[in-house]
This record gives sequence, structure tokens and C-alpha cells, in this order.
Amino acid sequence: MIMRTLRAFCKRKQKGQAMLELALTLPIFLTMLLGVFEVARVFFYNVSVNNASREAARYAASSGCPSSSTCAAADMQYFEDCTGIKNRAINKSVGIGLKASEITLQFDTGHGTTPTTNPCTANQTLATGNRVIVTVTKNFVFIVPIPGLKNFTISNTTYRTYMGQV
Amino acid sequence: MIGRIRTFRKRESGQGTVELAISIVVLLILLSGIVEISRGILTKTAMQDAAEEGVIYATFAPKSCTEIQNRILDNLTKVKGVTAGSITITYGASNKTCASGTVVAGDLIKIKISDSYGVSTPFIGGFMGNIITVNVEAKGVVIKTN
Repeated sequence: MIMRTLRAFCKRKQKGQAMLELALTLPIFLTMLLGVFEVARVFFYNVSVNNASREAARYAASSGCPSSSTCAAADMQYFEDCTGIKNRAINKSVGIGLKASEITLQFDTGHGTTPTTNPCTANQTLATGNRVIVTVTKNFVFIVPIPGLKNFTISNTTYRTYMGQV
Repeated sequence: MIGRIRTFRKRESGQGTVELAISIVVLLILLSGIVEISRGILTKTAMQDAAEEGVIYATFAPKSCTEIQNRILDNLTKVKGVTAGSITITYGASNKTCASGTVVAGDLIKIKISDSYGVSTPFIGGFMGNIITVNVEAKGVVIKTN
């Protein structure tokens, strides 16, 4: 008797099955989707940070002046133009909200030498063969906090040789 | 016998699972392929930029072989597996090596970097090989010798 009722129950009441399956799989599916989003964002941030530092270093290492065509000794050189260098990095990394404070500018004279901080003023000296060093550090924040995973920083440093008069 | 086959054909309860099992393998291979190709492109871009940085320095200091290598390697700290040995610097049409051979102004600089690294996703090695090799080359002209 019981078996018969059970069988009948199993056969007839299948209306909610799809709904139940959906309810079970939806959280898993959404978690996976979120994971895909986050991994893609990590890649995006990584590429943006790399491009920003590269482009800023390229700008800083170019010879000449941003505002003058005569380029006299008193004019500001590209490597002295910290605002220009940082703007270049910010413009190159649209979408990650890069701030000027997250970009560090330094000089050194070759591999293994101690870098000096760029004072961002005119009349600095940079000889041919010295390098400009641009470091971009961006804090990566998850859209939805995942337990056990902390926010981390994505950073890239680019070294670019300055070629003045050769 | 035929009757039994007929009953077998009628039962479709496991069909979804079997389809999932077959298709998930294909999907995962595709996903791994996408990840590996993206990683390869990222590596190649970084290496190309580093090679160009080496060429810039070599245009006015072509005889400082170690410094050229170091300036390249400074830009490749995030790329695993690149050492001084993976960088080849040659000058001129006769491919004079950096350490030996006379370099004169006007010589063509060729810097090649080769990097091999293991694939990051498991099992995909069976389809595309366990080792991925990325090669880049940058060219320039010697302006003056040091």
C-alpha cells in the first residue's frame, strides 16, 4: 500500500522538479560566473598597469621638451615633467581608476645602481645612458568579497634608457 | 532480444549526464587554450618591450654586453625563465657577436630573446605540448661605439 502511494507520488508530482534543479544549480552557476568576472578583471588590471608604466616610461625617456620647440636649457625636459608623465600613465589605463599617487618616478645610472627619486622640478641633469624608472602600483579590490581571499596589489616597473645627445 | 534493445532505447535518464561528460572535456580544453594563448601574448609583449629597451642602450653602448643584458633582464622580472643566456645580441650583416668582433657605427643591431616555460593548466600539455617557446626580435642601428 505504502509502496503504491509512493510510486504514484513519484510519477505524478514532477512539476516542481525543474524549479528545484534550478534552485540548486543557480548558486553554483552564479559563483562560477563571478569567478570568471574576477579573473578577467585581474587580467585587465594587470595589462592596464603594465601598459601604463610602459607608456609613462616611454614619455619620460624621450628627448626634447613638452612645451617648447627651441628646447633651451631652462625649459622643462620630458623627464622633469612629472605631471605629464603621470597623466600619460593615467590616460593609458582607462577603467582601473589609476591615481597620480599610485605612480612612482625614479632615475638611476645603470643596472645595480641605487635609484634616486625624481624631484619633479626643472633643471635636473640626466645623462645619456641613465634610466627613468616608472613603477605603477594598483590595489585590486574584489567586486564581491570572497572569504579567504584578500585584496592584493598589482604592480609593474619599467626601466627605460634616456638618450639625450649622442 | 530486440525487445530488450527497445527498452534500452527508451530509457533516457542518463542522457544529460553523458552529454555533459563529453562536452565538458571539450569546453575545458578550449578554456585552457584561451588561458595559455593569453599568457603567451602577455609574455611576448613584455619580452618585445624589453628587447627594444636593450636596442636603445645598444645604439650608443654596443660593446657593453653585460649591461645590455642586465637592462633587458630588469624589465623582465615578471617573466619566468629568462636568463642572460636566453638573450642573443648580434651586429651587422655578418652577425658579429657582442663579446667578440668589431662593432662600427651604422651596424644593424639584432637582439633576440627566447623563453620557454611550462604550460600552467594541467592535462593540456597532451594537446599542445608541455613547453611553450616564445621568441622575439628587435632591431636598431648603432649610432656610436663606446
